[in-house]
Order: sequence, then structure tokens, then C-alpha cells
Amino acid sequence: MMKILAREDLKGLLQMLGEEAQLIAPISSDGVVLFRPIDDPDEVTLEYVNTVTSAKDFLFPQDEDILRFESGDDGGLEIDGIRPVEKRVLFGVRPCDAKGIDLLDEVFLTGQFKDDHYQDRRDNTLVISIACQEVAEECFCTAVGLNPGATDGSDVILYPHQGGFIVAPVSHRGEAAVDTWQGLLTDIDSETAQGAVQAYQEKSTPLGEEVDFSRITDSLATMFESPVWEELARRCLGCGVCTYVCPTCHCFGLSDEARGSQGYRLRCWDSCMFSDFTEMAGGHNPRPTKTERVRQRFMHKLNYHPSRYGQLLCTGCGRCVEKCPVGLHVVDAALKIKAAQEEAAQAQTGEVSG
Amino acid sequence: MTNLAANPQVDQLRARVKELLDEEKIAGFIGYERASGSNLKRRPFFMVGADLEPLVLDHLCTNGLAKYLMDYRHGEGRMGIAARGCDLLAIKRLAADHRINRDRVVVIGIPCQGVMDPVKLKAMGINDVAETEDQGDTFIVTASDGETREINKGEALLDRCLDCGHKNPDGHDILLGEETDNTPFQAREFAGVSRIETMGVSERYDYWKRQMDRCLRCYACRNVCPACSCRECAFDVASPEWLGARTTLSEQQMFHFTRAMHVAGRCVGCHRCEEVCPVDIPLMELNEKLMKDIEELFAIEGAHVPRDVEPLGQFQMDDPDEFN
Amino acid sequence: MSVTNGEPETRNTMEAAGFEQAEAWEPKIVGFCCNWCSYAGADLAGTSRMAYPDNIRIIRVPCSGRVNPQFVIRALQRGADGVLVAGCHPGDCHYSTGNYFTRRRFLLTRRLLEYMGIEPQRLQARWISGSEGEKFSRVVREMVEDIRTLGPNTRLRDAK
Repeated sequence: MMKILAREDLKGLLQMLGEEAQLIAPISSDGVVLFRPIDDPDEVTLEYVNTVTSAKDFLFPQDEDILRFESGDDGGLEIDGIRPVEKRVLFGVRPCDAKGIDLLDEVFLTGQFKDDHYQDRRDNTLVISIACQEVAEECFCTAVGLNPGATDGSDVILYPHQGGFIVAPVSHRGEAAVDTWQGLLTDIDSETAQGAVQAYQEKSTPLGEEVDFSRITDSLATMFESPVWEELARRCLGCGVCTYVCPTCHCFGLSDEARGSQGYRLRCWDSCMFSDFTEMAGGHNPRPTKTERVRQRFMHKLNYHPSRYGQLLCTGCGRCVEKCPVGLHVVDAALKIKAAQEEAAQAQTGEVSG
Repeated sequence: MTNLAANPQVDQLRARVKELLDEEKIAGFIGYERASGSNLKRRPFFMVGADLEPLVLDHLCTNGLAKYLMDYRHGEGRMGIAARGCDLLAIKRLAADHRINRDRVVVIGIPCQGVMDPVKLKAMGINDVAETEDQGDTFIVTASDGETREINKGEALLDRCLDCGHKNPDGHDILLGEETDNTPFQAREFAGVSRIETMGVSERYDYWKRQMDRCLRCYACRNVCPACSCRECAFDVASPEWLGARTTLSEQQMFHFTRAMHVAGRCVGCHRCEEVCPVDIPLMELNEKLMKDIEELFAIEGAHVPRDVEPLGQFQMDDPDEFN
Repeated sequence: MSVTNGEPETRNTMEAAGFEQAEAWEPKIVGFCCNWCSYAGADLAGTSRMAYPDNIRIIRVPCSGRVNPQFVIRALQRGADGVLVAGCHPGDCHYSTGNYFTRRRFLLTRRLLEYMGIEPQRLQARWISGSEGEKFSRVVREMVEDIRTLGPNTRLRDAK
């Protein structure tokens, strides 16, 4: 038997969630919808197709102190790791952003080195997603193996249905959480519920229909020296909009700051689009122009990351499509890469198409 | 005087560029083309080879193009560029700051009676525009399927166009079409600034705190700004650390305050900073505050117009003095 | 936004002002004094035994025109409750024209600070000549009291 939460019980749920943990949900700041920690559930808005920035900041903060150091009178150095411990609930995440969390989990929690700070936050965060009733012009999640009702990365997912929400626990943590909500939930016929859920999962995204990522990783394997990068890079402003709104970009820098006898090690977001991204002490920069940096961005997302982890580093959220001031986004790159690949294939086989 | 009706402009533009290429007066050209992933937006166009096919010119071509000239200042041959009044102010700014050599640029100036804001169009439910037409008080937009719609100019214009007094591309090398009426739609009154000036100190603090809280420190505003062209930007310098990497409120304030002061008297009012901001921070409310103060305090007209020596690079003996 | 350690940026104002609950707060003022006039004036105040409060920390600069508005912001961020920029009287600048630029720059800076919600009295600019020891000590005394009335600066503070 599946469960449904009535719309009028949402506030009660949010209040309950906020008692045990810090609630982080979308609010509207002068019309701009983004995730913020909130104390009053009335601040939460559900009037959005997607938030302007992803929820990435709450698991992988834009800036965080990861250790503190202090030199003592005896000449010694005391170093304390700073470990986040607050319990949180991330509410209102879209399936594309939840998938983004899933992809970041792979980067930070698997392999030889596990990131303690990310781990602490991840362990203390319950992700409650809401499936997408509306699809934006820029959405293309269906082109990268997702859909508006996908569950990857969520602990619980809510499917809006007739004013309320069908509640679907996804992970163990999610099941445990939903058990505590029983007082607020009522039964809904399984067949109806499945039908509703399926409708979300079968929704298409118009932009997703226009772009094909299916063979892009392989195509890129031989395109390092392609002229396509210079063409794309010409209009790049070298800002960090794309990397910062993206739910999956995760490059960061570390720096130590000391003032007097105390200091901190700071980790903060970096962007491959910034001119000094790979600038080194001494001034050498192996990615000196926009061409190398734009190449880096798309190779990372569409070739390097998939080669290592088997998945594209893109969830089709469409933020770069919407926010890049000069229309230089992953869809454009994919279209150009495909065109370049087809051109090369034609040249090779000597075939003339159509 | 031309009424900028149907868009033979793009054909004229293509023809003029081709002429310049044939006469070997330019080696490259910067203009506009359609964006991918959107039937509404345009993006900068850089001619490759001599292919002008993607070149478009309509009332959704709103990107700032002037700053790209910096990328080509060391190339061989001169660079052609399409520029409306606002982009020409930007070109003059870059030239005044010695960041481009004006002699190595050929400007095809475009008379303009305003361009449209894609965000405002989207809010009206318009997502697809293949062609645009200026009908004086209205725009006519045609979708890819041929469907047309007439919209009120006042509701569709970019904010930057509302009080623009640079409708003719002064300083052009070649004029596309004929000069147009330069009367601004609205008087230049800095209404946004005045609104904030009537707030109490705490209310202002809360207002700016809310704006800065959204700031991502993406530097899109700085990167698109024609007044921001330092070889080494203060914000990129590690030592001394003018600006820390943290996104605490005090660092956000430092960034915006500093940038506003750095462009004070040099901002050309092109609004590109505000237009590119992904989180809708009303940056022109900061820049226009300084513009307004400069005009009032130092009896300067049009602080946004580039001049040989800008307001903060000069002084008068009888400047106001509050500092006894 | 800063979500350092997962906590939203909420700070007790007293802590933000950087002092223990037990101590009484004293205004902290950073004073940029030009070497040729105002610093000499400060020196004269000292040699003439004209007392002025030790709330002020003086930083000597060659000319008031050297003072970057960012210094003001950083001073306020790093613990100052007020900033004084003191230079030669217009017309008397050791470098001829430096203080004319100071005048324009700080007219705007003060207004911009006020526009952003920082109390404008926290930034003061004064012309103090090398012979005005009395003026220097008076300016400092008055400024300390102005800032005392305003209270500690909490609006431009690093989290650390």
C-alpha cells in the first residue's frame, strides 16, 4: 500500500522535520528561488520549476574551514580538524539535483580517498526530492539517462498528485524517516499511485529530444586537438556561472590563512573557467587561454569523468543553458561535438550523406 | 530619420561586412547569431573563414560585444564589429583605457530604438522568436512556425533601454541605415537609487544584505564589464589578499563595494553586469548611485560618457568639501 | 552564501565585535595620517602633552591620497569601529595635488557606505596641518565619542 501526504499536512511535516534537524528548503529572495536554511516553514516556496542554484552548497560548501591551527608558546603547533555535525533535511530537491548528489557521492566517497567533511555532511543529511510537474525549456535530463521522476540520490521522493504528494521512500534512511511520518500520511491505492509515478518517469523534456549524448564519451576520446574548442571558447567570458550553478561541478582549492598565531585551512570552490585555474607558483599556466579551459570543462564532464566512473558528469538540469550569458553550455557543446564527429566520419569514409 | 520597421537590417549588415572583407579592410567580424538550446536567445558571433551565414541582427541581440575586441588586439588586420549606442560607449571606454586600439577596429554602427528582454518575453509566455520588427510603440515577434504577436514596447524593453540617450551609434565608422530619433523613452532619473536613498540606514543594510547573500562570486559582472579590463584584477591577486575566497557577507560587501568604486566615473551604463548576473542582483543600483553622486557633486553631465580624463582622475579647486 | 560547517551565518553581535562579555567595549579607531601634515600634527599633540584617547591606532601614509577606500572596508572588517583619514588642507599637499583626489574619492566613499547601510559617521576625513596638534587631539576625542554613541561596528565583520 502506498502513502499520500495531503497538501494541508505539508506544513506539519516541515515543522516536524525542523524539530529534529535543520530544515533547508527553497525560499524566494526578491523572486529568486534558492535553498536556504529556514526556521519558519511558511518561508518555503514550491513555486519553482527548479532553484537557481543547486543544493550542492549544503554538502560541498562554497567555502568551508576544514581545519584550525594555532601555534603555542612552546613553539608547537596545534591542529584541529573541523568536523560538521549538524543534522539536516534537504527538502524540495529535483531529481536532477538529487542525481547530482549521487554523482558527488561517487567522487567524494569512493576510491582511495574518502572526504571526511563531505562524508559527515552526507551522513547527516536527509534528501527529500519532489518530482517535476513542470519541465522547463532548458531541461534535458532525459538525454542523460534521467527523467522527471527519477530517484537516484534521493532518500525520499514526493510525487505531486491531486494537490497532495505520493510519498516514496528510496533509501534505508528514507524508509526510517517515512516511518516517523505515518501520522500525517494516508493510504492510496497502489495501482493509482504506480500510474502517477510512471507518468512522471515517462515525461519527456523538449530540449532532451534535441540533443544526443549517447556516444559522446567515445567521440571525445579522439577530439583533444579538435578545432571545435577554439570555436566554442571565443565567446566564453571566463566567469564561473556555469560551474557554480551546476549540481555536479566540484573542483576546489585549498589555502591556509594565518593571522597572528592562529589560522585556518580553507577549502573553496574553484572553476576551470577562471583564467588562473591552473596557474602555478612561478606564473606558469598549462591552460593559458580560454580554449584549453573550455576544452577541460567539456572533456571533464563528458569524457574524463565517464571514463572513470561510468556516468556523465551532467544531470541535464539545464542551469548552464539558462544562465550562461553567452550561450556556451553543455548542450551546445554536445551539438558541436556531434557535428564535428559526423564531419570527421564523412571525411574518413568519403561518404556523402543525404 | 529611420523608423526601424521590418528587418532588412541583417541583409544590409551582411552586405556591408562582405564589402569590408572584399576590400580587405577587416580580417574578422564580431556580431550576433542564434543560440542553441533556446529559440529566444542570441549569442556573440565570431566569423570563421568568411562564413557570414549564421549572422543575425534583431531586437533580441543584446549581448555586450565590445570587450571581445580585447581578445583580438594583437591579431593581424583590423576587427569589424556591430555596435549599437551602448556597445559604442563600451568601445570608447576600452579605447580611453588603452585596452584596445580604436584605429584597429571598424565599427558598423546600428541605430536603435530599444531591444527586448528575453526574461520579460518568457514571462509573457513567449519562448520562440525567429524574427522581430520594431513598430515604434510595439514590437512584432514572429515564431518559427510563423505565428506573430504584437507586444507593447514598454513591457518588453530591457531596463537599459528605458532612459537611453544614445540611440544613434556616435563614433561609428560605418552607419547601418539612417540616423534615428535620439529622444529617450524616459528621463534619466535614477529612480532605483532614489528609492534606496529614502530608506533608513538599517533598511538599506537589510536590502543589500539580501542581495549580497545571493551573490555567487562568479565574477560574471566583472568579466562582462567594459570598464573592468585591468591586466591583473585586484580580486585575482593572492598577495595582498584584497578579497578573501569566503562568501561571508563581509567579503561579498567588499567585492561589490570595491568594484563599484573601481568603476566609479567609468561605468558606461550598459547594464550588462546586471543582465548577466545569475541571481538577479540589481548591480546598476550601485553603479548609478555613484554616477548620480558624481554628477551632483562635481557638476558633471553624463558621468557615463567616456571622456579623456574621468571624474576620479581629476579635480577642481572648488570641489565640494565636507571635511574640514 | 557561507555555510561554514553547515551552520548558517548567525553571530551574536557582541562576539562579532570581538570581545568578551566581561570587558567594557571601547571604540577602536584606525587613523590614516599623512606623513607631512596630519602625522606631524599628531606628533605635535604628543610633544605638547595634549592628551588624546588611545582608542586610535595610527597608520602613517605618505599622503592622504594614498588611502584606498578598500583600506576603510578592511579596517572595519578586521576590528575597527571607525576610520579616520587625515590629510593636509587642500592647497597645502606636500605632493601638490594628492588631497584633491582624496577629497573627491572620500566624498563618494562616504556616500556609498551610507547607501549600503553602514553608518557614515564611522568614516571621517579631516584636514589637519602639522601645526594643528590641538585640532588633532580634539578630532580624535570627538570621534571616539561619536563612535561610542554609535556602538560597536557589527556590519562589516569577518566571521573569524
